[in-house]
Amino acid sequence: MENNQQSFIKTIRQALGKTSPGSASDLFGPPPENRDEQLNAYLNKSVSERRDLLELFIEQANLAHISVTQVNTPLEAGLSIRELIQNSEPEWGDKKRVIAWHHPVIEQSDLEKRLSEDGVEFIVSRGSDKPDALERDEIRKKLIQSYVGITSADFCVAQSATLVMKTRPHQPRAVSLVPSIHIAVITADQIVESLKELYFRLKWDQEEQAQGIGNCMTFISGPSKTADIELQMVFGAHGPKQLHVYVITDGLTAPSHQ
Amino acid sequence: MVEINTQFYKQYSAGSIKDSVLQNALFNAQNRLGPATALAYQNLPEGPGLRQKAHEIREFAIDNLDALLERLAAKIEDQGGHVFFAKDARQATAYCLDVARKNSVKMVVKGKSMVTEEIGLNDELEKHGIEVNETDLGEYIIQLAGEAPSHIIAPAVHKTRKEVAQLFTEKLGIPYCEDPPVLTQAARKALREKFLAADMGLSGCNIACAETGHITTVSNEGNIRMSTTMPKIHMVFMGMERITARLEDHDILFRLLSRGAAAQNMAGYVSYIGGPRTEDQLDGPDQFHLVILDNGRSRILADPEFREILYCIRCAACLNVCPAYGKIGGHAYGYPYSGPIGAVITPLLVGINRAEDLCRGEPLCGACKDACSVNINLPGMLLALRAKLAQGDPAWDVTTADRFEKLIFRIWSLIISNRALYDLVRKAGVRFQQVMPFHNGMISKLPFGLNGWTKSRDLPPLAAENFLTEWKNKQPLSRQ
Repeated sequence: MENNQQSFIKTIRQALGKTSPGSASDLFGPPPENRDEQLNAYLNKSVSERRDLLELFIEQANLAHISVTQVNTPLEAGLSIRELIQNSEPEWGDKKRVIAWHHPVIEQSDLEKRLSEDGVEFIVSRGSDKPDALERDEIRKKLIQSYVGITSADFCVAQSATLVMKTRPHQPRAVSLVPSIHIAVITADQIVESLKELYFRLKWDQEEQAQGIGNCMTFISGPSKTADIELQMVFGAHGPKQLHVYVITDGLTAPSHQ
Repeated sequence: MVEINTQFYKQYSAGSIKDSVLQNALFNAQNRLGPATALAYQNLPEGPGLRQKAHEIREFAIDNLDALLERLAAKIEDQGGHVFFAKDARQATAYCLDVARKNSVKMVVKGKSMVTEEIGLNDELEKHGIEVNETDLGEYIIQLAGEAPSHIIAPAVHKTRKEVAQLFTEKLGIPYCEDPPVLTQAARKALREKFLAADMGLSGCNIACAETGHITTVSNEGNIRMSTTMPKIHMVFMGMERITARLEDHDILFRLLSRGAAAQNMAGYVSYIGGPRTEDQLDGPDQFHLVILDNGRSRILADPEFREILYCIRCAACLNVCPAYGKIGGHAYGYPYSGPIGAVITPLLVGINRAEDLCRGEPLCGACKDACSVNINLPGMLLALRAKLAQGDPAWDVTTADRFEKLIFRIWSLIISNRALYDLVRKAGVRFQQVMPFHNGMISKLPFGLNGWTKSRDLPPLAAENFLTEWKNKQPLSRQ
């Protein structure tokens, strides 16, 4: 089908009374003058600042119906998650299946071994370098049959209790979406204060810059919910009904939770 | 094409006002959401003034729309996506059908999108034998009921739980139950099958980012993530104005959108999508299509008087405070956009004469401007539309709605610009009004031709003396 981009843009330009587009640097701005100091401040927070952020996140998460558990190590997270799985039932079907991202922090939780002792099928979404349709279908089937999905995250925004996830190989986006229970395991140093800090780091941190946002970045600020029937809040509209975040604090504990 | 019923505004409104169930639903919705949003603005760390900052961000984007759209398109094409620029609804729906045909699409799932309502996409797809499933719970309810959305973010706000229970019993075959969690679970089950079986997912776009080349979607239910993750094809429909320049603009815009829409700190899900699945990824759509729609927007852009309406991010906060919307509901507006934003944008899209009563029905109280998340001067534009209807404007193909009214005003302007004539007419009026029927010191009925005015209110009579005369009479001492 014929694409009308040129005439489309020309119409807009005429409507704006312009003859040429502005230059990109005008539109997207030069780097802020204090870029390096600001980045430094964000990346090297003091212990007390990090504690405050953890506390702020827990407070906001509670308001957003996210349950937060502080643990010292990934192994402790694994123990706690195992208990959660023992005490919950699948929404569709009888078999307990759990799917998890292929991710270091989840591997360290030793869940695979622990859950297999309980007779729970544990699937790690590890694919080949270029997964073909057959392989993708296989993972998709297992994902749909799983009632718990375990992920990590790139960042966690304290002010709005938001998990931020980029899409990577071996880390399907549907793991945080299709299962009835979503569990995210993060470390305390992934907590940022605000959306402002998040965007600043995504944009100006060299490592983040090199990765880019990718083809899909997801923000999750609570379990799935709706208020479409007489404005009554109901959890579990289409996505997960529960969201549990495990924060590996590595000794750092929020002041009010000591 | 979507049906345009703006000419029935008065008739629909009269019906709504008599509908006590609707009145109750609208009252509850406004009562809950209006004050909550105002409080959420107050509680912003930067205060409600942040709305003006958002206004400036939107202004910058609209002033550079050409360059931003070019950048977005180039970036998305780099990432393997397809971008189609559609001049009007026909081109947009034709593109969608074309992609559907090429990929043998039989069934689609949809996230809530006002722009697809505007172009009448569902009807067009269904006409070609494609099953369309709305997946936002509110949209799903009204689709089952065969109705149109009555609110921009709460499309089934006019439906009571009893009506939904009845509907689900009929259409989904579940036992009758009025409990929202049970009803939601029934929809969850029915739609899960659709999400997993659909060939194509459709969504709108909240605010694209030109710098990084992403569209964004926002939801609380997770239905848009489902629609854009599970099917093999994802197609996005975006009004051309729904873009911002820089990534960090989203900080302010998303916080205000979430507060304006539902008094939330942050919506439950936000997704940045910039292209199809890459070959090393395990899921996500194989094809990604972005349709950017003009459909009358460039005409609005060209008029500095109305350009500001393109800053709108469709949070629907204005609906939740508008006294007119609160009485007549969304269907009365006869087009997908309702409330103050509908009363401005609909005439500009479908024709000012065709939707002439919409801007007249709004009371110009200013509540919408105070609630607007991006501080748009909605009352100013409602007035500008009324002025166009009074004066006529060839640029917008507006003919004066009422020549008789225009004549009256011409005579009036003659009278008030001539002191002697004015006094004469006033004195005649004082004498003439004595024969009118009075009620509690007010004129209760004007004679034929003017009786429209006194249909629903009384008119204060003219004073026996004019102000200047009374001034002289009452202050004889100070005058000496």
